[in-house]
Amino acid sequence: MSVGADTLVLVPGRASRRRRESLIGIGLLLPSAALVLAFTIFPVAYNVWLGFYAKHSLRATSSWVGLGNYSQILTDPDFWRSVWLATVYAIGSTALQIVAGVAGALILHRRFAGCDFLRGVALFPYMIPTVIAVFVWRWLMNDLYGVIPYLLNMLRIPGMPEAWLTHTTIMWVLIVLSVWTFFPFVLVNVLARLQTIPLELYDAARVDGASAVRQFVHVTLPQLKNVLLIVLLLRGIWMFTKFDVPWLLGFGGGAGEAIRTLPVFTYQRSFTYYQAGMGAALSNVMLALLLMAVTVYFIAFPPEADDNDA
Amino acid sequence: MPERAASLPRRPRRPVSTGAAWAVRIGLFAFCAFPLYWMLVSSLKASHELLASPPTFWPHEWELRAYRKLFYETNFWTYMENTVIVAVLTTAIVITAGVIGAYSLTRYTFPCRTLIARVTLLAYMFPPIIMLVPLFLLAREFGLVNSLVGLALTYISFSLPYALWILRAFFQSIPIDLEHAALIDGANRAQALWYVVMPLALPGIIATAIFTFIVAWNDFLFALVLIGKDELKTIAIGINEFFHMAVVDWGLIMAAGVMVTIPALVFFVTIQRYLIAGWGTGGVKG
Amino acid sequence: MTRWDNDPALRDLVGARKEGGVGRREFLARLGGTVAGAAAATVVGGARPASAQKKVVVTMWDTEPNPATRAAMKAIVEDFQKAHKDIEVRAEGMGWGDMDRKLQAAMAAKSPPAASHTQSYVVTSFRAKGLIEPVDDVVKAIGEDKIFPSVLQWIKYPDGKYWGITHAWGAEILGGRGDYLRGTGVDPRSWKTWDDWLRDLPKLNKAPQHYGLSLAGIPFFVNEDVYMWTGANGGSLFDAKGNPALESPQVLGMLEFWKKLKPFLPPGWASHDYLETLSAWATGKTTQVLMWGRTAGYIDQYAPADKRNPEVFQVWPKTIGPMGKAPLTQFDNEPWVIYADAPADEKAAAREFLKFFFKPENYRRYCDSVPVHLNSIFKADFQDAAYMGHPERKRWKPWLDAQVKWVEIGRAHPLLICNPQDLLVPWIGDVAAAPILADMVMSVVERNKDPRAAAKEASDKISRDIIGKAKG
Repeated sequence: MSVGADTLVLVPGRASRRRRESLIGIGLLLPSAALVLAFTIFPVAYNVWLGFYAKHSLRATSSWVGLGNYSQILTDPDFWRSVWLATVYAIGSTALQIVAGVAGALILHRRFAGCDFLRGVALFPYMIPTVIAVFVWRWLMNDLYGVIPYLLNMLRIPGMPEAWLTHTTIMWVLIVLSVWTFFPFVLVNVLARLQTIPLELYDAARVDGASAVRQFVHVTLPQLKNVLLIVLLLRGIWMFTKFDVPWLLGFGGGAGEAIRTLPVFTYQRSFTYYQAGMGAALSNVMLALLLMAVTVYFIAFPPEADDNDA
Repeated sequence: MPERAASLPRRPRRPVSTGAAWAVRIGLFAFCAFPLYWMLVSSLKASHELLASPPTFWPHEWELRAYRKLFYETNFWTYMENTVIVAVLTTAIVITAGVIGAYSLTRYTFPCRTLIARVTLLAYMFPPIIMLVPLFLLAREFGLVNSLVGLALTYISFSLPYALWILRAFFQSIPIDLEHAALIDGANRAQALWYVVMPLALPGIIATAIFTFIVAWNDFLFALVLIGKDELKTIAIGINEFFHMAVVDWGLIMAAGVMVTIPALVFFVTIQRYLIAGWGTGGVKG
Repeated sequence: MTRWDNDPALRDLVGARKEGGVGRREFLARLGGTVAGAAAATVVGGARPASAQKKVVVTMWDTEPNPATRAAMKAIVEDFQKAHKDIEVRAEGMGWGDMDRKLQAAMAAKSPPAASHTQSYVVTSFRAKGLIEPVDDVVKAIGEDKIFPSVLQWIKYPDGKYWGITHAWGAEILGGRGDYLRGTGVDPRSWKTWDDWLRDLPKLNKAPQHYGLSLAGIPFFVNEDVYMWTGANGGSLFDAKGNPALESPQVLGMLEFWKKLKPFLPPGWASHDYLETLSAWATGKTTQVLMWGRTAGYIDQYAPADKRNPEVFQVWPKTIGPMGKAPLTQFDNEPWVIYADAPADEKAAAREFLKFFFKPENYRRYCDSVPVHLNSIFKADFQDAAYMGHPERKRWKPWLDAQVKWVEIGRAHPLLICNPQDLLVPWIGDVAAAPILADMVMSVVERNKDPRAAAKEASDKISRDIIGKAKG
């Protein structure tokens, strides 16, 4: 519904002004872009380069293997399993984070007694250091001391496992724990956006006789679209590349073998197998997979600004 | 009291929906707060009760032992100071650069605009753990090792792309008409940004500030590799070391967790009212 | 605030920014300049850009981050620096995982610390790659004949040189709750074989109040039990050439044995960290646990006050498998090593520090910081009244006696080393760090895979992923 940015440029109208504006535009963006690219280009280039070598992490020398790392990766069933696990984890946790975040934002959008306090508390899971969050959850779900299995037992819910942190159910625990930790990101961004939706839109909808649900679908969701799509993209990427949560929960083995996602697998190759070249190759493969997914995303959801590109 | 969207307008409510609304609110509260409660209670329990089976919800004996140990026997306050410095520095720079950058991305046209925005996403497609070694090499080259500034720079470079993306989405939703009106009235671009766009985008700015702050507050990996001197360590490193003591003191770790979150919680409860739009300077009429 | 002192340029810059005299772009440009200036100073001035002293700064990383040991190290460093005014020692303590990561980053940048703790198998690996230097001078200075032969055995290599010097040692022991014996008729002292143990485990297992045995399920610690029981079953993980020997009857027997232990383990054992097993034992959720001296601290922290003694927390014997002759336990003998790529003056300083560190008055302070866990490498200390008179050592004397006995009979071996010649397997460290062996055990015990198939898969992985890559 917003008028494109081009309109602003065209109003003054003269070519030299347009050129000046465009230079200013680049100039304003340059420091940020330069900083980001410096800290991005070098590590990315380093990783791409290193992927063609076999290098022991603790030795200074490396030997050229060309595509050898890649051919070994693509024929390794453990690699494909880790891609599958990462995909399950990313999709499962992102979807639930979006649902929980939007639901939470809708709840907190109104004023009620204690809403300020609840808004702060809702941010809490995102605030605590990851290492503490994961350890608290490990403790809560522990088979010997855990409060949650204890409560579930007391409620006599049938079919509960004896222990939650085993290879059959640890992925569920990982997903719930990740949703708990990260849904506030979605919530706060959606809530911020909800607060800027003009009231007139709702007034108009109500005048037309729309119920609460229809108002949500026809007014709220379209207005949320921009922010929600960005959040979906970022959380999807971040959950796919997330290392510390599955690592701290499962330590890469034991029951944690069931949550040996691609980042964990990559870490193990690089730091525990001491194969830096293989680790770099794996992260390049991860980059390629994400680029494919992001390309699909941008085809499916072109950002609005694209309509106005000169 | 701002007219805009502070809450949906009141409609006559049926009692059932109010009950349901409260049930949902309490559910949200319980979901978020139960682990906090557990942390708080565990930090005040005596050690042998920490691992009691069945677990106790309310301590039989209360102790401040863990907090005493945290404050007097560890370097906790130093770590806290360092983390605050780095986080504040990071957030200030990211917000400044992000607002200006996002404004540029949405209000100016220049070649490759969208391409530059998308390239900045590239940084996120590697797990940070893999960036560890090249980032360490880079940091050594620029003398950023063992420096809080260096640490802040890595956090800034990590947070800027997403700040640009989120703020861009917010700026896109602010109609051009308003700035148009301001420019015709004789304001320059900077004034249009400051007086028109930013107030309307304030919730998005605050949201971005919160998340940038948390990234710098919680990061463990880069602080581990870039900081070696004990007096420069951050909280995340300090807490991690509690897990490596000769005897892991769970009460101490829980106390540290509480101390790290309660002040931030109080701060965010206060600041969250700015997530509500508007300085009252304007809805969009017509 | 000392941080600002470390960055004087930053202090000025931020001050100017706050006052508004510096715009955003100028701030960022000058920030870059500050950073570049610091970088230039680093290149020119060595490790400390801000000062122009001629001191040798030597960095030494150890794996004892707990406050008591840090205090002891600080005191030793201070005394050393008084005697050597031209040397500054930075002794940093950190956990194992962290040290590993930092070491890798440092090695990649070709700037390792001068010295650090490490494991025996890592010494083998580093030595083969030329990353460390021998420490014969240090060993001779502190008195070769004063050290336990069992300690020296694992740091001396076929070339006759010592490639590391153990900072302190420990031997793993099987702990058992004496109070859970009551009424069961079980006498642990009678145990000789795995069958004896399996026969009595059901009597010691009263799930869910307490389980018969608690094991750690995460990879590194599973590896410990794999080689320990294989060795107790008369076998080894490697053949004479260093190739994996996992399909041998001894290893398969170990896997079968582990399956039989499963009913007596807590159901979530596959996710348990080693420290969780210790607190489980201290709080009575398990009858037995494989433990080390540091467990005494867990007992003091988490056990009821009236139970904190070795009558309740006893040492029980380890047993042998059907194909074994003598039980095996793990020897923790992390050596100090000196890194070849560090500057020459730093290495020399590190050697001087180590000689100072092992002097009786200094070393005693170190060992006393965790008395029952950091055992002295000097034989005489165990006859010394002052050493053994330490209250903690007196209290837990049965534990100390058991550990010394293992060292005397020579059946305490470092990680993954079943037969002494396994020490020389070049990739033993890589196997220890990898999750391959742990995956093998989990697939058999938790997912009922056929042991032979699991062993074959693990062997293939080791051959392809570790040995095959070892040429790189």
